[in-house]
Amino acid sequence: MADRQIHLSNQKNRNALINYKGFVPQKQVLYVDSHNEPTQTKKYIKHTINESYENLLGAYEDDPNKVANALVDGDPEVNLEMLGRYMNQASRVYINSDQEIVFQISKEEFVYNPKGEQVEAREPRYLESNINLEKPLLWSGKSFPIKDIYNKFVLTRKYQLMHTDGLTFDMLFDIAKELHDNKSMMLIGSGKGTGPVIFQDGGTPFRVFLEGRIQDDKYLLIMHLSNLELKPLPEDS
Amino acid sequence: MARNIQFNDGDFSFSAGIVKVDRKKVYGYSSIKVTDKDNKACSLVSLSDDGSYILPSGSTGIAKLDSQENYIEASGIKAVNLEGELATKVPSVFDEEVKLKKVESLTDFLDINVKSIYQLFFEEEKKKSELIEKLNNQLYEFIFNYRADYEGDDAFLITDGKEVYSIVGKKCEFEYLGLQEIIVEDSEEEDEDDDFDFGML
Repeated sequence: MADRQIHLSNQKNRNALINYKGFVPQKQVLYVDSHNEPTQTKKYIKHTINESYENLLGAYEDDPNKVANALVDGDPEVNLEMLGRYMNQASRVYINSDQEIVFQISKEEFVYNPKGEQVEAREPRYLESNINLEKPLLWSGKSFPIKDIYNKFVLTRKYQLMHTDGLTFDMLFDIAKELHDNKSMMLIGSGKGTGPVIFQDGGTPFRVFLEGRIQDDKYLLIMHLSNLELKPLPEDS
Repeated sequence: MARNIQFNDGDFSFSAGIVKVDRKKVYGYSSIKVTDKDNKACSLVSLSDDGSYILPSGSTGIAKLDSQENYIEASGIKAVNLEGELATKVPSVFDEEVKLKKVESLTDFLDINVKSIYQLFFEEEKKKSELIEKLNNQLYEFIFNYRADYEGDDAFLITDGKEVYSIVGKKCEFEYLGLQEIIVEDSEEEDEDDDFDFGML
């Protein structure tokens, strides 16, 4: 993942733009052909909407038996012009129940509780990234001992913070040292420091916990992202 | 009924089933309904490259090609490790006894990017209580593969004091940074919320 930037404030309310990066695990296994050359994959077309089961059913008087007989007698599911053709960049469009392309749509979001009961209908919400705004993400002051937090929240994703110059080195080293010495993680976030953090437009909001480690004169500062508490599944799930 | 996994750490063994934990089951979920101007439900589809055909969900497949872009059958493909040697399959956790290893440091657990979470279900409550007792002082790790595959994931057994969970993911290789390691800047790109509520995320 390419380095990105986050606007972050420290415990003294000093703020700076800080680089961060994620981690993509290196594949340990490769797939090769008989000449030991790497293989590749490509998307191909199996059928179009005209040969879909729903359309075939419509074409044969909504009688599945007639569709079955047609499949035995011929190949109505095969479009010789399209079958097996590779796809490159496909456009995505909406179609309605009449299979017409639609150019004007409305969206409504339905919210359900864990039992699957609808609790709300609303305008879909689109969350904009808030990691690099004029106001930095704040140090909330809410500190969690590591021995207590690791089994309270699922710390799903990790991003490493990195300095870009001597000043940001000092800032990040100090943060890491304080957290390392206290054996704790600090909640950082929007608003007063406890609000959700959205890393990209339209993305998922996360709680962010900062963890710091020190090794001699080097530091490691990790943002642990969480959107889930570790708690038992509801009885009826 | 879910299949059970047999765990063994040398002097303690137990059997448990697993059920996936996700946000949907814990907090609920939302879905978006799209309609046209006549209130007819809409669905998202692809268009063929020339725009002349509609390709609904399920109308495309993935073909495997050799280096010359010729189609090849799956049987003609080999899995090799980074040294070029034939890779061996890591069995499914359901097929063989899972060997647990003691985790030396909590940071080993903190370093994983989590892919999935499972709650363990026990036939014997006594085993569950004994395991929770052990996990209060010691985490365990193992290699997790739901299905037999060439690469297993890193998995950890932890407890919240009431239940036992398996957290599955991949370890990140972090690097400590010194003053000399200046990171060159790359290009890039409010809520007044005091509540500490995971349900609203």
